[in-house]
Amino acid sequence: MVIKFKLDHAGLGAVLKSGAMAAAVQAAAKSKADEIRANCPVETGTLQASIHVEMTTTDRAKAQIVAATDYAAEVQSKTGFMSK
Amino acid sequence: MSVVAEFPDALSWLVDYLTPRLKVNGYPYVTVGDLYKGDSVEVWLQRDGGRVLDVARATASIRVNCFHDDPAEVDTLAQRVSTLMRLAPTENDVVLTVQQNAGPLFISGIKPQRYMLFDVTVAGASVSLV
Repeated sequence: MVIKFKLDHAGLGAVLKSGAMAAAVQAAAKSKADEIRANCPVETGTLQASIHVEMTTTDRAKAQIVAATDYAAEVQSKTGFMSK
Repeated sequence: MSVVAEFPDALSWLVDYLTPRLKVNGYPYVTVGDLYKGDSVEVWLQRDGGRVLDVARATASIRVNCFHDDPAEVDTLAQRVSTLMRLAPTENDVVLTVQQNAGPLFISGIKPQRYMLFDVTVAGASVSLV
C-alpha cells in the first residue's frame, strides 16, 4: 500500500509562530533559566539576577536565555554556568 | 552475554586528538588539557555535561578556552582549535559530529583569552559483558 503524504508548509509555519507554540517555548526557556539561576556562581547576586528570557519570532517562536552583565561571558568561560 | 555500546571519554579523547595536531600545525609548545596550568600557550577543555542519544551515540558539551601570551596570536590559536575540532569527524570513527555553538569570544582577563563552546557527538564501541 502506498500512502501519499504532502507537507503543509504554510500550516506548519503558522503552528511554529502561533501563540500556543510561543507559550510552550517560553515555558521551557523559563524552566531552563531557573536551572541556570540555581547553578549560577554568586558573589554580589547581580549576575544571577540578570538572567532572563527574551522572546522573538523569526520563522518560528524563539526564546533566548540571556545573562545581561558585561562579565557574564568571563564567568561562563571559567565555570560553564550557562551550558552545564 | 550482552553486547552493548560503551562510550569514550569525549574530553580526554579530544585532549589526545588536539595535542599532536596543534603541535605540528603552528604551536609546538602548546599545553592542552582539562586543568588550567597558566602556560604561555594553552588550550583548556572542560566538559559541561551531555547525554546518551541512543544505544550507539552520546553527546558532550565541551567548553574550550584558548590562551596566548601574545595578544596578536590568540585569535589565530582559537581559529586553529576551531578548525581542528570541526575536522575531527572526518579523521576518525569516534567523533561523529562537532557543532560550534559559541565563539571565539573575547574574554577579558590577565592573559589574552578566547572562549568557544562545542557540542560533540561520539560513537560507542561495542563491548561484550557477561
